[in-house]
Amino acid sequence: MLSDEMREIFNEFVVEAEENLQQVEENLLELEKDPTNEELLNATFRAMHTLKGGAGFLGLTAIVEVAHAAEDVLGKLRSGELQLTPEINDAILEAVDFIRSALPRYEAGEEVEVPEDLVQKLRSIGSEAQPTQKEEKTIEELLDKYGFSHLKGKPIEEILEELILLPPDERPAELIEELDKLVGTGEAKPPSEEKEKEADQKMIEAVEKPAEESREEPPKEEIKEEVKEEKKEEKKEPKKEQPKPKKEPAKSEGEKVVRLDVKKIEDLMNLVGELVLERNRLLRVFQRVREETYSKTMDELETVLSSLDRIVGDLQLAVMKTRMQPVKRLFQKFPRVVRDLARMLGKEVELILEGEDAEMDKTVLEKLEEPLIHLIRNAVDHGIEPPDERERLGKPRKGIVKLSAYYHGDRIYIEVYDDGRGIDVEKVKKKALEKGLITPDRAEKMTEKDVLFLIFHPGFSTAEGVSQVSGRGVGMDVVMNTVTAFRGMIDIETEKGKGTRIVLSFPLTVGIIRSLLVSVNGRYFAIPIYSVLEIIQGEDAQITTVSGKEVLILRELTIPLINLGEALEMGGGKVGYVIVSQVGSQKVAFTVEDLFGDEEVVVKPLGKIVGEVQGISGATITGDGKVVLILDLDGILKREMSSLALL
Amino acid sequence: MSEIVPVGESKPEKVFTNVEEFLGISLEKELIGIPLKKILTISKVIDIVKVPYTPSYLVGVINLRGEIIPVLSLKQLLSLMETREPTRIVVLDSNHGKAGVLVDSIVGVIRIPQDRLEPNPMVGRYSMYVSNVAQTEYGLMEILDIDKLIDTLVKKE
Repeated sequence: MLSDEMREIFNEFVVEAEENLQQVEENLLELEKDPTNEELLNATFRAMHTLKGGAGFLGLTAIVEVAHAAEDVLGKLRSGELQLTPEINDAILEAVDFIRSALPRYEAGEEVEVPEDLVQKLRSIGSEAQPTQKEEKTIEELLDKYGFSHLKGKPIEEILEELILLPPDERPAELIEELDKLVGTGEAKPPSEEKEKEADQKMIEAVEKPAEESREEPPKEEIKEEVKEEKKEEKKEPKKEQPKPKKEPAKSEGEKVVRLDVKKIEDLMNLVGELVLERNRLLRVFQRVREETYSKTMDELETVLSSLDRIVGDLQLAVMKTRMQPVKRLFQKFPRVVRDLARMLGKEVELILEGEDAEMDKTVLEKLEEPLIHLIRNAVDHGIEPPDERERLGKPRKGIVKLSAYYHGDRIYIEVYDDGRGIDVEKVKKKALEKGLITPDRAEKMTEKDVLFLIFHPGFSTAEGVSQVSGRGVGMDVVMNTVTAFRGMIDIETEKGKGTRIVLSFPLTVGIIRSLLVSVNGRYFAIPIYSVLEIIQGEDAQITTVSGKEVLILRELTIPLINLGEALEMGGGKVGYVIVSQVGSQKVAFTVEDLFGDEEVVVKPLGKIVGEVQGISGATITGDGKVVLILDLDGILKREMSSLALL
Repeated sequence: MSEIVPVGESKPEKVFTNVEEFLGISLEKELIGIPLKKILTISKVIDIVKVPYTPSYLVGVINLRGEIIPVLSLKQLLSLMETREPTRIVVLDSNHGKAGVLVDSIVGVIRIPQDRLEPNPMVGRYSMYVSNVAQTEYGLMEILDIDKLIDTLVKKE
């Protein structure tokens, strides 16, 4: 439904709308604690207003309707006509959710129907309010004064909008400022119900017939720029003359930020990757030359090389950092999740966020949302006890869920903690036995930790009744899958009655990994070192067979053994070493022919034509120009399992 | 390790009709033309690393100036016999990224006036990937629609 020209404007609108929605949501949650905070109310109102304006410009009727209704409620809150209650907050949050869900639908070119129920609900909030005559007059007087009498009778927000959309030289800056002041100080009350409907009607008409509405609009090619420019001015104007400048956090930050195509960063990463490899090669060559000859010039060369080495290292880090984003982007979604959940479950929960400024790779960050939602839901649903129960146990009524991020070494840790009832290890074991996930024999030998990891098993759920929040038996395995996909690790600690702590950790840089170089049947492969637990000489390894499959006996543990050559479909080959590795929640041993030490390698994708290959996570180019495939042990294990299942 | 095939030094008869340029390659008994604008470079057959778990038409990947490029067996993709040993890798720029194809030998740059491009008269093994044919001094040349070929590979997965 959108033309190509509009598409670009639309995309910009979406980005901005998401920011505005985020701000509205954050502010609302904050307002719940501090309902009379004028600054917050104003900022919230403005965000919703900007959103409505943009949606109106693009003809996104459903969004306009909902935003308008929500804006009115916010207007009434701001003027003190209404007091913020959790119910009102729910309604506005519902509007936020609706707009959020409508954006991708509009993007996909779908028609979105106006959610009448929601609009009605919003309108019914404090609908008895009437605008006072006095202010209407003031607006009309102003309009007359500046020669815009034809706009009389419209709601002030709409008048402002029309004025703002005029070309800069025709735009009556003073009038806008004065009107803005009326809106800003809350003097102008939102228009009455009837007027509102009328106004909406007009808005929709205008939107549907852009040609008629055209009003001195600039020629099409200029629209985009104009809109941007105007939006900026719209933001700035009130700041200039207003006695009480409004707090608009997102915007002041905005100016220091450049939006970049990810592709450009990826290109840069690739080039730096090359540079790093060539540097390694140069250092190696230099080392050889150094052994062969000695001269004073060589010393000088060494100095140059070592500073080059350092600079390349710094450059690598700097480029990696461009891909890093603060975990705040992810964390900020959770206050809402926790609030809604707690309300729904009748629990009292305080969410504490820590280390929001810690940064991690964008790709990982984006994929972490779903797993974290599962973990947090679990914490609130299964972890935190109902308030009365907590009181009986001598705990504060309000439970604590803490989401924190911190660095340690070259990894970033994300931790979800709750001070709830903890995970009942015996119950988990019982459940796993019932579901046939483990055998009674195995259950006896399992350590507490092994048992805890069963919760990540697909199809496992300890919830006694299936609640609508969590406990659908899916979810925790999603956590495990996402974490292993990004070479992450999971740890669980729990204490009955005290709480549970689940820690996810990820390598800081996704692009470069430390790998163990091995050979299998004369061919080289790289195994990410984080998954390697220990290495055993082939002749020292205790290998036997259990039901026809080879296993490694290591300190009384029985570990499945996979012949890497066979697994890679290139024939068995000699067993020089056995590598014991941690794959997801289990230990697996792999045989290899030889080892060649470890090295930092730049991971390069195999490209679209090859596609995703389970078991191979990419390739790297060694110092001497050879291509070495990087193995994904988790994928190889999954392949082995599924081939076993087929037998 | 790689060499660029020089584009003809003289440029005759270009005034009247639009001339299209192709890289003529020899594949078993066939003469196949690939639009020259699709060709990035031509390399000798260097160390190709087989990727486990991938279909056999994917010969492997190579390092081309620090980039990992997949190498495809055109013969397998076009269901041709494999009696001759490929000597060159032609690196192409496809819709889905760079890709190398193994060829027996390079014939050279062949220029064909647009009006001498004929529709493909044949229906057969790989005719769906042949957009046109043309008579050349080296015999009949089949012009390969490389994007279409690679499209089907990517979609298959």
